[in-house]
Amino acid sequence: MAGKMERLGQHAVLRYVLRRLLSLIPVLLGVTLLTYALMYLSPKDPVEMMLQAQGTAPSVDVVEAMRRQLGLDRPFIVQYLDWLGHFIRGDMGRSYVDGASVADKLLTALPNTLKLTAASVVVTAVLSVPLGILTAVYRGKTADRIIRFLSFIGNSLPNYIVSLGLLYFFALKLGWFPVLSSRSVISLVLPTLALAIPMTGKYIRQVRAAVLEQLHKPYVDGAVARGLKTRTILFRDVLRNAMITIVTLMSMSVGSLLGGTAAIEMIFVLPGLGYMVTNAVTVRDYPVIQGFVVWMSVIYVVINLLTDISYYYMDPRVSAGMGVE
Amino acid sequence: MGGPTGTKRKLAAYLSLFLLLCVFSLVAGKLAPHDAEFVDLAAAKQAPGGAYPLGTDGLGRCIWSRILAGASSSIFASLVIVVISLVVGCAVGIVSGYAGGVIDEIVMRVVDVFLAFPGIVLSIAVAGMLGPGLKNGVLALAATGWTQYARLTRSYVLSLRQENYVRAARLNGQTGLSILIRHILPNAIRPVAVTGTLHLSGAMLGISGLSFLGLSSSSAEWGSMLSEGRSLMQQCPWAVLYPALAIFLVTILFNLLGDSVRDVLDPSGAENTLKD
Repeated sequence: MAGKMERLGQHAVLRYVLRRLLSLIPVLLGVTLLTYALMYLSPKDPVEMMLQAQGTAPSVDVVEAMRRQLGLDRPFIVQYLDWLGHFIRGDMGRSYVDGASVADKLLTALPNTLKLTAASVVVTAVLSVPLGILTAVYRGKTADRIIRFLSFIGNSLPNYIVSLGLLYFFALKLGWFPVLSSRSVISLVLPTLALAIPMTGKYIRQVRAAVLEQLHKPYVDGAVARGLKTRTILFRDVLRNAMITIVTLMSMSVGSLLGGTAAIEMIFVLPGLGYMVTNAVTVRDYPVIQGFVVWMSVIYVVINLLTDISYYYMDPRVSAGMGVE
Repeated sequence: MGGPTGTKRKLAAYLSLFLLLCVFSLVAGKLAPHDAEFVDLAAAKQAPGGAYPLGTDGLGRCIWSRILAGASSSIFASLVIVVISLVVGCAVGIVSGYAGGVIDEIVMRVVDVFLAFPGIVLSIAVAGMLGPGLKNGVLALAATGWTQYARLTRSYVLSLRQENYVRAARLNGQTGLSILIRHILPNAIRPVAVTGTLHLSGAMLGISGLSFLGLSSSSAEWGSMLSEGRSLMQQCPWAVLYPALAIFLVTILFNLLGDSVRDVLDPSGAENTLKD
């Protein structure tokens, strides 16, 4: 019986996942269309930019020939579908500047950004979840006030200001950390902190709000009345229920870091995706920008999907409703 | 934290500071002791004091004058970002919610597409298309900002449409437009005001972030001042410190204002803070 119920539950999850995956198709089509259209509508002519970048003087004949060669003289929709067809097969075109494959460029830059993102999400979680719980439990006490004040300050500091401050004190003045990034782990400390501090400031408040919301629920009064220990109530019930908010926050923080690491990568000369795309924007290297934008969106919507699916496993109401438990 | 009068008094204080700041940003450029763009290599890298209260940068430009000049671009730009996002987003949301049916479906799918771009990525793409410049930076951030207003007003219109007083107005023969203006807008204005003020600090950090990356402004803007100053941070830290302080203080004021507007207009709106 239990096995049958479980299968039923898995079935429902599977159907849900499938439905969500299907609903991603129009969204991603829209993303690619918008991205391609932005570059198509750009006032600068890509062929002229390309020839200039390669050091050739663009004469009218050369430009026309190049345009035909690249297929840029065709109607918009034909160009878009052609580009999309290649994109789906993993061919994102070549950089206008150095002729390198965009896919290769992205793959080379990705590990740096990935390391930075993972490290700062972990640090953010490790800092903001306990501090958020602390402030909720000690609401109105001194600890709550101090942490909330600091989190308000952190929330008002953009990560590039934090990183300049960290760089100035810990790298230039104290010499504890290298100024520029190298392959070593220690060079990741300052960029990670620079990203994690403002995010922690933001998320402490939200973890606090989520825990407070749970603490006001009748089941907590009930548990207190039954004589359960505060610690048991907090860690067994409250945290479990606040988990949904916390997981949402963490996945949102990954989302805001996709592309949001650009300033940090510039400051610490860390050749990741943000570094790559910022340089691409200044020289208008459209294929690189397109590849970056579309891939970031794909990663983002997939993360959102995984977050939603994880609700099925975290929220007892959802899984109970499907007979999993 | 204070009773209802306390939160109202706080709001009044922040609001007047905010208005003061807006007026100040309009006239700040005229108060500058020096020409913000004047390059004087003989006066380069001077420490704060004397003729240059906040020192000079690597090109000998007066940092105080540049901060004053930058006030108008940075603050004004964030206001414009919020206003454009708000007007466009609300218009789209109201039309979509009120029209319903196919129009609503299409509009919401378009909103979904815009929401599929994480964080600053769409702004980078728009800046990449338009090229650098303050105006383009503002457009790039408004391109991502409008969706939250569209979703918000749409959901309000959808729920208000079902209210009895709106039905009564319709039975009375009032036209769609007059129902919108007389019954639905006044009710949706509070949450929109809350979202708008909470959006201010995000817009401020967005525009200075884009400028910092060299994707928005090239002249005196706080973000680009930081970006120019950082290579000389060891020799003249003041070229970084003061623009950073300016961004920080204004963001704090915007955040305080946003929080207190929410506390007064929407005391139950804690869940709004979960939305970015």
